[in-house]
Amino acid sequence: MSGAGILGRPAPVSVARPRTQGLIGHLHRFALDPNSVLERQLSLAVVYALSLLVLAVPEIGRPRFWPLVASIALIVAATAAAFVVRRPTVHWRLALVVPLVDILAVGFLRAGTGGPTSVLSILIVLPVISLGVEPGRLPLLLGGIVTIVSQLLPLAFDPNVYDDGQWIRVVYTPLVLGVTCLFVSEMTRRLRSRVRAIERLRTDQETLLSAAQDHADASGAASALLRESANQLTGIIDAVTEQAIVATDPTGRVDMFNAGAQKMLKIAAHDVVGHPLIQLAMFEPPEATRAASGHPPPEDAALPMMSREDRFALLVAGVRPGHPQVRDHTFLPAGRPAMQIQVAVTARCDARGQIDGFLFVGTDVTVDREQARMKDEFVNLISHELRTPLSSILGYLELIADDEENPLSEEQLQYLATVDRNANRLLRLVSDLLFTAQVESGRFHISKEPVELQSLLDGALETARPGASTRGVTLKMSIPDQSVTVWGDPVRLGQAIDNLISNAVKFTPAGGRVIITLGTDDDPEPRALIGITDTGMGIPPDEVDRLFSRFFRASTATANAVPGVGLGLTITKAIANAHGGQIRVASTVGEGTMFVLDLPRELSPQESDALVA
Amino acid sequence: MSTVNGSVGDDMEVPGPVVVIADDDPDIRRLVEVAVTRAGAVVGANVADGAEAWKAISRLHPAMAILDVSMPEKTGLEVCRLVRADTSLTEIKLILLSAAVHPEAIAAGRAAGADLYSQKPFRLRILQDEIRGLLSIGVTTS
Repeated sequence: MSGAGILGRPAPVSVARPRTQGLIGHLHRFALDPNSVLERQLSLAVVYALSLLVLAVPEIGRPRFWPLVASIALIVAATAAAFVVRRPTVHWRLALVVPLVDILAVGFLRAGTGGPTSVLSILIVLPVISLGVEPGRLPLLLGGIVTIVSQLLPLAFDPNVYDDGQWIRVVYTPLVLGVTCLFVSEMTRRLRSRVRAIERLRTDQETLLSAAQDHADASGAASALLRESANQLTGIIDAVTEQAIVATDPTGRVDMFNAGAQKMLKIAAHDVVGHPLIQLAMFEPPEATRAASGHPPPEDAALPMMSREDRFALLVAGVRPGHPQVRDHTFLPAGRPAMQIQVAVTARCDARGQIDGFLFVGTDVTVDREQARMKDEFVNLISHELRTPLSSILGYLELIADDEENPLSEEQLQYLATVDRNANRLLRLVSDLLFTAQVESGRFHISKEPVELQSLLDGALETARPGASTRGVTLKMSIPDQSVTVWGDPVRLGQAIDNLISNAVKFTPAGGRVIITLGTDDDPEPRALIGITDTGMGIPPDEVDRLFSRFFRASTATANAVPGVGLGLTITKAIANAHGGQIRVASTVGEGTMFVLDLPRELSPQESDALVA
Repeated sequence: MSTVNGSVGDDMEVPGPVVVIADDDPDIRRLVEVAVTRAGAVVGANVADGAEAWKAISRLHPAMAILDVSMPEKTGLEVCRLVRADTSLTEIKLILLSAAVHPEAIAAGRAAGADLYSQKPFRLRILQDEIRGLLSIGVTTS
């Protein structure tokens, strides 16, 4: 520490420190506190005053008056100075003036009480020790000079005082006193440095303690926060009683099984937590996954042969962060009817983004599925019941028209054609209703095979041509020479294209045109674009959004008495979506409309090669 | 136009392959009968429910049965399965006729062992061609 230098000021004792009691405390203050000069001086003044009592002894003889007065005056002055120098505004070094004045005072006292032989000479030890307490070597130097001066003072009152060899006192006494002072100074310095070291250690300890306390406080607060947040989370998860929430680690061991799961599956959490999830029959991987993942064929016998780990891996196959999987599972509880549970599997990630476990959220969809099934059944029944009489109507119409033995007149044949057309219209309507019901219930499936769009469009054009020529609408087609293939259901795609073309023809007045185009786009991914553009009546902008809703009819359609019920575009959109594609529309009222059927395209081998290259 | 109602007598010379028809709708039954006759086959039995159909098939061992799917007593699918399970009826061709057009119904028909799943309404001419095709009847016989 810088304050420990030879001439350096001792570091003041910190005020915040608790007051140390007893002798140690006193010594401490004595050693370190520069203000202890007053204590030293007061002690010295008391001893001095008591020593004056010695003068009452008759054998000592009468003291000299003026030296005695000077001595007392100097002691008083030194004591007064001690009061002054302890003030913080006074430089600490000035404190050494006090013992120096004391030394002079003892010099005068000695001179007044018999010179070298004075019994009170011994008093000089007190200010010398006091001086030794002052830090540094400067007090020693000044002390030496002042002591010699003090020793010489008796000469001022009696020139012969140092005869008889007494002069040796002038050299010897300051020497001994100097050594004493040095000794005291050294002792004080050591004491001071030890105390300072202790002080430093104590400060360090306090800092450490306070840091430890802060740390403990902070960690206490953090754990309280964590606890509270965990409690809150558990509370929230347990408050979910209609959904089963099950968390597992990456290997499929159950970490958490909420109240909803216990209620839904009638299994207590403690029976499941820590055990593999896969032992719950409901979480068996479904057949489809097993088949798709190339694992052993979906024979029931094969399943128990697989390890739990493999079965769990199948269950979560394909689940990645951001790619959840939603699937229906059948749960067969003992003594209760089977339940359909829709399970969403999500990956849980740690801070590094690695899969830390899985979350299974199950919703009981038994009632929903049952309702959907009943609705399906109803739609199927209605469809069946409507189709059966239509079958008779159409069949017998064909029989009448085709009766070679009883041929009909031209007029009768025309009437029959009208009946046939309308019966077919009714049949289409029934088919469309059934189709939209299937789409709604999610039971609409398409086959997947390569479909060559050129031939599909050629067929659609041929189908639409008679209707277009009847209405006086020109049909034009512009398709590339190179084959464009998509992956999908040829019947459904044909239906979608037929719908778009027949719509365009229906909404285009006589003399107008319908243009069919086929193009490709490879950005961002290979797609086929089928465009159907007409010069028809157009669709108002505020109706474009509703165009694909069930039974929606554009105002231009109703105003112009264009026949239809508003299912065609719903179906077309559903077909596009089922192929992973979409339908876009741009229209201007009075000018025309363009529909674009945008489908993901399968690359031809040449194109694939070109991409790889 | 010649139609045969009921069963053909055992002593009669059969002019073409025998076909059993079953449908609970009499109008459709009659239409199918026309198609069968025009195709050049002979209607062995024309019945209104699945149980009757199975009886007729067991008795007549026809070349073909045209069955409605949704019928009383036994569905067309059940009759199909019975036929396919009977080793004495291996040669018989089966056509299912149904107004149910959803993919599951078609798949169920195929799974029951039908050679053809035809949808109602059907074009008479097309059904006629299908019957001919399955029974390998030359066009000249019609």
